[in-house]
Amino acid sequence: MNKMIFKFSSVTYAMRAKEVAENLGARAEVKKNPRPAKNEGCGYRLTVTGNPDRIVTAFDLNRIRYISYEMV
Amino acid sequence: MIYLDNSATTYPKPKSVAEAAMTAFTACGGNAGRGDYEMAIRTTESIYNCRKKAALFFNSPYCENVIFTQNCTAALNTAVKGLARNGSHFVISDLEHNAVLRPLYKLKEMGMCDFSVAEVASDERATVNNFKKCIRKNTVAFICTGASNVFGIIPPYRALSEAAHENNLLFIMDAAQLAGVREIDIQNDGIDILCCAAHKGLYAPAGTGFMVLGENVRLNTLLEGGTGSNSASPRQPEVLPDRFESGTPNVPGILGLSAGFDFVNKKGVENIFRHETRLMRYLQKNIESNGKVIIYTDFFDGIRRAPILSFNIKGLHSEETAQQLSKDGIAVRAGLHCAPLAHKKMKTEDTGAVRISPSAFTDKNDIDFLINSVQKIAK
Repeated sequence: MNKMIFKFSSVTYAMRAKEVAENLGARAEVKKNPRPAKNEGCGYRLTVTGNPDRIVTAFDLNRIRYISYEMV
Repeated sequence: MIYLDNSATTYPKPKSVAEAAMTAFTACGGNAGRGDYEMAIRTTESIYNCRKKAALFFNSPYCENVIFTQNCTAALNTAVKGLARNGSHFVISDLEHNAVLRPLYKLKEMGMCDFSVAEVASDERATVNNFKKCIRKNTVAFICTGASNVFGIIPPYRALSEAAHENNLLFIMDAAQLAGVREIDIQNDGIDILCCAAHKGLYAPAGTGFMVLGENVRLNTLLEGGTGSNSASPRQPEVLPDRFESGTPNVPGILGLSAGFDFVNKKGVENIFRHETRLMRYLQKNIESNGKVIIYTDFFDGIRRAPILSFNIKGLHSEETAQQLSKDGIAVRAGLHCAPLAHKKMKTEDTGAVRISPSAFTDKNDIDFLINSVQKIAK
């Protein structure tokens, strides 16, 4: 199990991503991005614990638009 | 009071809707999509849940394509003005409400767009041909009501959407009267932009509406502002629903709508339609034999007519009839119903018409009371 952080501009996508991740058995939590980049302003992040490949594939299949992700 | 003005706004609302709206003041008071504290997140989740219910209700695969608006008029304005470019042409039906006609008329007055009005005929093929005949090189969309808000006529919208798509046009539906009354499936029905009122057949508080965008529909924005996303940029975000939801949302309305979807789902859309249609058939049967009553809603076949009945009493303006009914404690809507095109079509533009529109809460006793009152006035 790996921990990943996905960045989103829209909370709606972050919440949909959370559901998709949880349907795969992952643990996921939506929070506001505590350290937005200087040129981004407000945004959200989803912290997911699960299988990274499956989660990224599922997000792509579900047309979930995220800004970026990183492994932590 | 016997309330029969449900096409304007449904009343009463289900208790669950009032309770859900109240939670906006008691439990979901935070600023949705902005704050990171518990109450704001709870509010955001509640709105998200309503968005999901709306997507499911209309068979949209993507809940972010559900855009909350102030009402159906705001949704239609967003659709029309968001789509219009210099020189664009639209084809609309001859049953459209002013929510469609006026935005287009304004664009026409500004010299920006033009539109043609196509007749909804009694025959499906003729209706489709009427729309097709209006297509020009610069036509961008067909706009058609799901059901006339005055006469209940349901145009053949699936055939019209097919014709629109065959000609590379978008199909926009004004579903103010149909949402919650008849099943609408934006994929099977080929609807590119569905515009809905939430406070009618979905039993939500007034001041709540939404639109559901099909895939790959690209619109300009009508409003720009804070969305709680990409805030450092002066440019309106591209991502849905943020692109069209600037400013703090109507949380009481949206939470009420969420409960409205539950109410309608529990009752069943088809059951509501059958119940209301049965009542309108009963009304028709009991007043049509009165020689002084003119009924404009010709039949209720359970397919091509929504449960709305409009009539007049000979020698009286519709407003006079409505006032007399009001004295008996019956609430109906008279006049032109913001639909001058439809009244012109039915030749009732001078007198308007008295519209009777039931809801899931209307029962036979209500209609019996109305029948007695109409018979008394039409003696």
